[in-house]
Amino acid sequence: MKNPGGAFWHKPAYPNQQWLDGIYMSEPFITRFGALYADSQLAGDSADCFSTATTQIKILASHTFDPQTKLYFHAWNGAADGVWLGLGLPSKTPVRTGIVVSPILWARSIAWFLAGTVDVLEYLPASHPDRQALLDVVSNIAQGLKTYQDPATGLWYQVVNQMDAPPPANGGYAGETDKPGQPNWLETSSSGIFSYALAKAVRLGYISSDYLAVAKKGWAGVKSRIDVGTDGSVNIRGTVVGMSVGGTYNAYTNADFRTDLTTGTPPAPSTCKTAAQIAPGATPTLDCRYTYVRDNVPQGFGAVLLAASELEF
Amino acid sequence: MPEIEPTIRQRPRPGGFVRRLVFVSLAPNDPTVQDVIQPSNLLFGMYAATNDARYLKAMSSTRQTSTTS
Repeated sequence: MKNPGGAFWHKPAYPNQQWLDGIYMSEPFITRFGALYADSQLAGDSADCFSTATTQIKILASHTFDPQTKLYFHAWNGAADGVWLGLGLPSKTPVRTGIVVSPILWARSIAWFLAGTVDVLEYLPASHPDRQALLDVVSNIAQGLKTYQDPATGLWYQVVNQMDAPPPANGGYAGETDKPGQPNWLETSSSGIFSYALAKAVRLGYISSDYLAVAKKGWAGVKSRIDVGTDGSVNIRGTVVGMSVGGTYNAYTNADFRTDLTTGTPPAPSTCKTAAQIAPGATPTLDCRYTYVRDNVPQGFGAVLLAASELEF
Repeated sequence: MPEIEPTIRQRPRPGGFVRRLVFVSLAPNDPTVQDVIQPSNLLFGMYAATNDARYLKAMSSTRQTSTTS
């Protein structure tokens, strides 16, 4: 399904919303299929594959670009009534009705957008008219990542542009006075995906070779969070589990940190309300953390494999 | 039920058959997981490795459009 602006819905559960994360889910596939097999299955389909992928990236970029940081906000909503449906779980804090673009620069969503765009470019014909628009996306994100990379570790923060600056006075919805912004933290999976995409973009000539140092520093940071046991077992620390779009800063940062993969039902502590119990338009109390950071999250493993494929072999 | 179950496929090669270990995910689609790597790369690799038309058909099927209301 497409929203009125021509963007694919992220999922049926999120009607009319286009998320950055979604670009990695389909556009690289459709571009590669277009380059390899589409015309052999249906004459003329390759061109449609290419234009489908590039059009989605262009629509998303045009709505979510933040010129101040050169990065892209998590999602935009094309619903005619302005309602962000489907976001009751797990963040409990949907973007408020009528706000078209979500307010947070979330690391892993930007990482999927960058990696997806780089992977599309790999199979997009050199003469394709949308190629420069996609190169601009890669260039923008690369610039933003260089600016906001943690100088000490090489990693990137959950909310990329916030880094380790003092959190905002209000981390909840506008007007809430009991939700001070919570500290930001470094996130592993996004850092791995950023390292992969930057290194690949350098290798394929999409961005300056200067960014290889950024990628290598990021990968070194990721590797510092990988423990290999004497029995060969691998432990990857510090990845946020799957997240929805959130309408507040704390939806992304107010996290529950554990080493195991449990998420808790309801979230810890057990006195926390479920989504149905929280009044519409209110954010959870601060002791109820609905963002989970864990070890050995699947996205962390995927990120490490992607980064290793570019930077280790 | 294990999430990943290995199966063995036989592929003819010059000089004989080669045993290939193929991993098939049995995990249900979890609607609470919001951002995951879709296994599309696997389809390309499987088709290239096996020439099994089912993988090409699976890829082609994504190009079909369905009427929605």
